[in-house]
Amino acid sequence: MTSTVRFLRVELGYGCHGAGTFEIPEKDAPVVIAGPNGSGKTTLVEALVRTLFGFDRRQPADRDCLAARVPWSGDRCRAEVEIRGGDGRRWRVRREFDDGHVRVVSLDDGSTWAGDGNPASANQEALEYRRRLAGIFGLAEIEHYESTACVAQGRLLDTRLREELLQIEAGGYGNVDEARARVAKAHEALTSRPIDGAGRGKTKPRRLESADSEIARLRSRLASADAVLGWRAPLEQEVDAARARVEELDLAIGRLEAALAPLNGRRALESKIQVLVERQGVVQASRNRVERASRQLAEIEDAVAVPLGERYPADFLERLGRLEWLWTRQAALRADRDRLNAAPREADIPPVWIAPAVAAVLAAIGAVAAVGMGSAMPAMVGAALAIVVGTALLLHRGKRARRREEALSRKQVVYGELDRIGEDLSREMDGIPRASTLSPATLDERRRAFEAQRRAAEKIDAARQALEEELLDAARTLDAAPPTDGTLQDLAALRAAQCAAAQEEIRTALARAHVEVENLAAVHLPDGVDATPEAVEAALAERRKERRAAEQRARAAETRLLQEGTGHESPVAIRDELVLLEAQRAAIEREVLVHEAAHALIRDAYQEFREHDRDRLLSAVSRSLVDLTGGRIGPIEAPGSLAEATVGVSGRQVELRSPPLSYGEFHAALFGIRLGASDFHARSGIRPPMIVDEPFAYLDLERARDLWRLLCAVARERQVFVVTQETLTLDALGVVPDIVLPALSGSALPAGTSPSGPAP
Amino acid sequence: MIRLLHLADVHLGASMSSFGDAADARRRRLLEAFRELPEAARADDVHAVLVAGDLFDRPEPGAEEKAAVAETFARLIRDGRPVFVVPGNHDSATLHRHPYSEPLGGARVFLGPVFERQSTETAGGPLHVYGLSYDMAREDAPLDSYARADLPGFHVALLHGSAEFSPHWRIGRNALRLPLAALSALACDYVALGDYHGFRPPERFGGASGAPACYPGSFAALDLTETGPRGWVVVELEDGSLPRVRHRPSSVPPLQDLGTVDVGGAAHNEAVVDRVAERVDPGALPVARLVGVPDVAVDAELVSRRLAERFGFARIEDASTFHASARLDRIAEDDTVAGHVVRLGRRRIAQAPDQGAAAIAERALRVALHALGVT
Repeated sequence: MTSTVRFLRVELGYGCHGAGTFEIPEKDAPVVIAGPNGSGKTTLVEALVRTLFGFDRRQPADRDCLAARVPWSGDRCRAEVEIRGGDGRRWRVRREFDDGHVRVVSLDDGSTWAGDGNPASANQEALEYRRRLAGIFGLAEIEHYESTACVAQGRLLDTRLREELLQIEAGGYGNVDEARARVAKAHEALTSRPIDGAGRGKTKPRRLESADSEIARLRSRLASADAVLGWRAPLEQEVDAARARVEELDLAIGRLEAALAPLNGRRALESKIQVLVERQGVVQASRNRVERASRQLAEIEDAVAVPLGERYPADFLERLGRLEWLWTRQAALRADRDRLNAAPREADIPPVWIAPAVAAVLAAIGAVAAVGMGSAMPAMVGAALAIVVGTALLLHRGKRARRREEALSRKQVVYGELDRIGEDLSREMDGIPRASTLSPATLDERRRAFEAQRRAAEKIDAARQALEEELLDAARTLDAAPPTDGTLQDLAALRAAQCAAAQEEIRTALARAHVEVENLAAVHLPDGVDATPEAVEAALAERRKERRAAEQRARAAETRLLQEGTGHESPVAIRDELVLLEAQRAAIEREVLVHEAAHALIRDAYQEFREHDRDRLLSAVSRSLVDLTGGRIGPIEAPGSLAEATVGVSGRQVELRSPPLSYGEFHAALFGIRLGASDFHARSGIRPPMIVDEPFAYLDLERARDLWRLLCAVARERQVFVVTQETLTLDALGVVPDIVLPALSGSALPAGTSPSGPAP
Repeated sequence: MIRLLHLADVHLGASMSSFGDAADARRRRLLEAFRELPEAARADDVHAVLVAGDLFDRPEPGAEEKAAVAETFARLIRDGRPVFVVPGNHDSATLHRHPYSEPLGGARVFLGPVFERQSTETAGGPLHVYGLSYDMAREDAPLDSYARADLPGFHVALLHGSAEFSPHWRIGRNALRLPLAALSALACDYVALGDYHGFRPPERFGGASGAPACYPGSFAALDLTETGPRGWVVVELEDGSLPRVRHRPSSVPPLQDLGTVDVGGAAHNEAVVDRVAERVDPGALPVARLVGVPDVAVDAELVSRRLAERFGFARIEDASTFHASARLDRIAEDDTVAGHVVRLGRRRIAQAPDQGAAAIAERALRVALHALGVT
C-alpha cells in the first residue's frame, strides 16, 4: 500500500521570505515554482525541506546555510508547513531554527507533540521526532531525501546508483549501516569483543569485561577468605590442641603435685613406720634385755644369794689386806707395846744429876789424879773423861730419857695406834660376817668364801651392771629420766612397763600411720607413673617441660593466627556480593547477546532485503531510464556492485558516465536514477514529494518536453515540485507556474501568473 | 509474660547498589530507621531487644554506623531494655577486625563459639538468653553445646544461621547450618534467628512440637529480590502458651512486588508508567514485570526512570511481547528493511530453543528497530 505525502501550505520567516505564506495546490500535476534568479525559489523549497529535517549545526555547510537564512527582517528564523502525511492525516510542523525546537500538531485531532528536532541530537526527543517524521514523511534524514526525491539545484550530477539507495529503503527510516553502527556502538559500550565474532576486539575492557574482572577479583577474594578459613581451622585446632594439652598437663601436674605431698608423706609415714617398727624393735629389744637382765639378776641373786649376815663386804679383800696389816700392825704394836712396856721406866732413867756427878767425879778424879800425879794430864783426862762420861751419861740419860720419852710417846703412839687399829679393825670387820671368827687363821677360808661371794657378787654385779646398762639403755631408748630411787628390779619393772607403754604407743602410732598410709594409697596418678616421690618428681619434670613446649606451641600458633590466620572478609558476605554481581553480569551478557543478535538481525534482514530489492531497484531505475529516454537509454545492469552499474545505450552496455554517454544522455540517466530510486522508495508505502530544482537546465526543448511529460507522469503518483527560472521553457511547454516569485524587491505573484505576465 | 523485640540482618552500611542512583538516599534512610528503634520499643513496651546477627554489612563499618548503633543501644538500655547481640556472617567476630571488639553502647554481645548464657531481670520476669558466635574453625557443631539452665524465667536462644530453606544452607560450613530438627530440639521457649532475609514466623517452620523459631527477615530491602514485609518482630512469651509473633515494618520504603503488569495495547511508554503506578501502594517502591503485547517498544529504563520520579525508585523487568503487536504487523507488511527485520525477528523468536533465547530475540528485534529509527 502506498500513500503520498503532500505539502499543503508553508508559512515562512526564513531567509528572504520574511513573512511569506504560500498555499500549495493539491493537484495531480507538478507544482511549478518559477521566478528569476535570486527570487527565493530555492529558499522556498529549502524551507519546505528544512522545516522538516532541520540543520545539522555540526556541519559547517549547514551552519553557514542556517546563518544565511536568518530573515532579512531580523525576526526569528522559523517556518511552518502543513502536509498531508503518509498516514493520510494532516499535520502542521513548525520549527524554530534558532534552537531546532519543533512542534508537530495533528490538524485532525489537535494532538500535539513538541520537542527537539535537531537532526544531530540523539536524545529521546530527537529520536521521537525523527520517528514521527518518518511516519509522516517516509524519511527522517535529509541526506536520504536529497539523494532520492529531492534533487537540489546542481546536485543532479551527484546522482549515483549505489548501495546506499538500498539502505535508504529501510522503510524510509534510516541507513542500515548507521543502524548497525549504532547497535555496534551500544555493544561496544558493553563488551570489547567484536560484535560479529570477527576480527579483534577492543583492548580496553568494557562493562562485561569489567564485570568479569570484578567477578574474578571477588572469586579470588572468596578463595582467599575460604583459604583463610581452610588453614585457620588447623591453626585454631593447633591452638586448641596446644591449649588443651596445656590444660591436660596442668591437671596432670596438679595431680602429680597433689600426689607428691601425700607420697612424700607416705614416704615419711613409711619412714615413720619404719622408725616406729625399728623403735618398736628397739624398745622390745630393750625391754627384752631389761627383762632378761632382770631375770638373770634375779636368777643369779637367787642362785648365789647369801644371807645378809654372811655377805662379805665388797672390799673384803682390801679389808682383809688391811686387816692383815692391821693385825700385823696390831701384833707389831702389841709387840711394841710389850716392848715398850719393857722399856726403862722412870725409875730406870738415871737422874739427871748422875751425869754431872759422874763428870764431876771423874773430873775430880782427874783432878785428883792430876793432883795426885801432879800433871794436868790426868786432870785433862779426867776432865775429858768427865766430859766424855758426863756427856755420855748425859747422853745416856738423855738417851734413856729420850728412850723413855720415846717409849712413852711411842707407847702413846702405839696405844693410840692400837686403839685406832682396834677401831680400824672394828671398822674393817664391820659388815664382815662372823667377824668375830675372822682371824688370820681364817683368812684363807674367809678369803675363799669371800672370793666365792665375790664371784657371786661379781656375777650379781655383772648381772646388775648388765641390768643397769640395760636400764640405762632403756632409759635412753625411752628417753626417760633416770629414777632416783628404787631397786634395780623395781627400776627394771618400771622400765619394762615403760617399754610396754612405749610399745603400746608405737603400736598406736603404727596403726595410725598405717591408716594414713592406706588413705594415701587413694592418690590418683597418671598411668605409667609409679607411686613414688622419685617417679612423681620425674613425671612432674617431664610434664612441666612438655607444658612449656605446649605453651610455646600455643603462643606461636596464636601469633600466626593473629598475623595470618584471621581473615579480613567474610566468605559468606563475599558470596552474597558475588551472587549479585553474577546476576548483574548475566544481565550485561544478555544485553551483549541482544545487541549481537540485533546486529545480526539487521544484517541478515538487510541481506534478505537486498537480495530481493537490488533487482527491484535496478528494474525501477531501468524503467525510469527507458521512460525518460524513450528507450534510447537503458536498462541498467549491475552484475557486480551498483557503483559499477552499466547502462544500455544503442544495444550495448556502457559505463554510467559521460563519455561514453553524451551530456544530455548522462543527465537523463542521472535523472532516471533519481526517479527510479524514488519509485523504488514507493515500496515503503510513503512517497515523499519530489522536488526538482532546475530540471530543465542543460536540456533542449525536446528533452525538456520529455522530462516534463515524465514529471507529469510522476506527479500522478506523488506530489512533484518543479523549481525553475526557465520561464521560456515553461512557456514553450505551456506550463503555468503555480507560484511565481518576483525579484527580491517584489512580492510573490499569485499562482498562474508569471513575472512576464499571465501565461499564454 | 515477657515481650521481646527481635530483629536481624540490618546490614548497616550495605551498598544498596541494586537501587542505583537511589542507593545513597536509601543507605541514609536505613540508618535513620535504625535510630528509631528506641521509640518502637517504647511503643510496644518491650522488655528486651534481641539482635540476631548481621547488624553491620561489613566487618569494618563506618564510624557513622558504629556511632548510631552505640547511641541507639545506649538509649534502649537507658530505657531499661537490655540488648543482646550475636555476630552474623557479614560482621563475623572471627575476622581480624570486627565491630564487636569495641563496646556497643552497653549491649551484651556473645563472642564465644559455643553457647553462653546471659541472664537479666526484666519487668516481664527473668530472661535467659543463650547465644554464640559461629566459628567453624573452633566449633563446627555448636548446637550440641546448648544446655538449658535450671532457672526460672524465659529461655531464649539467639542464633545467626541458615535453615534448610535458606540460600546460605548450600554454602556449607562457612555458614552455620541449623537443621530444623536440631532447632526444634533446643530446650528453650523461643529461638530468635537471623540470616534468612524473609520473614518466617514459627508456624511456617514446620514441626508441631519443639522450640518455636522465627526469622524476622531483613530490616529493610537490601536488593531488588527482597520484596514483602521488612522490619522486626515483637514476640510475646507466656508460660504454657505458644509465642505470639507480630511483624512490625521499618520506616524504610519497602519494595512492592507488583508481579506481572499487563501493558497490552499501551501506545506509549507513559501509558505503561501509568498502568504500573496505579497499582503501587503509598510509600512503596514498585518492582514489576511487564507482560502483554503493547503497541510500543517499551523502554524499561525510561519507564523505571519515570516511576522513580514518582516513587523514589522502581525496577521494571520488561517481558512484554512487542513483537506480536499490531504496529509491528503493519511494519511487517512492508517490503522494506524494517519489514524484513520484523519478519526475520519474529521467525527467530518463534524458533528460539528456550524462553531465555526467545527473550533475547525479542529484545534484539526491538534494538534493531530502534536503531533503524522505526520505534
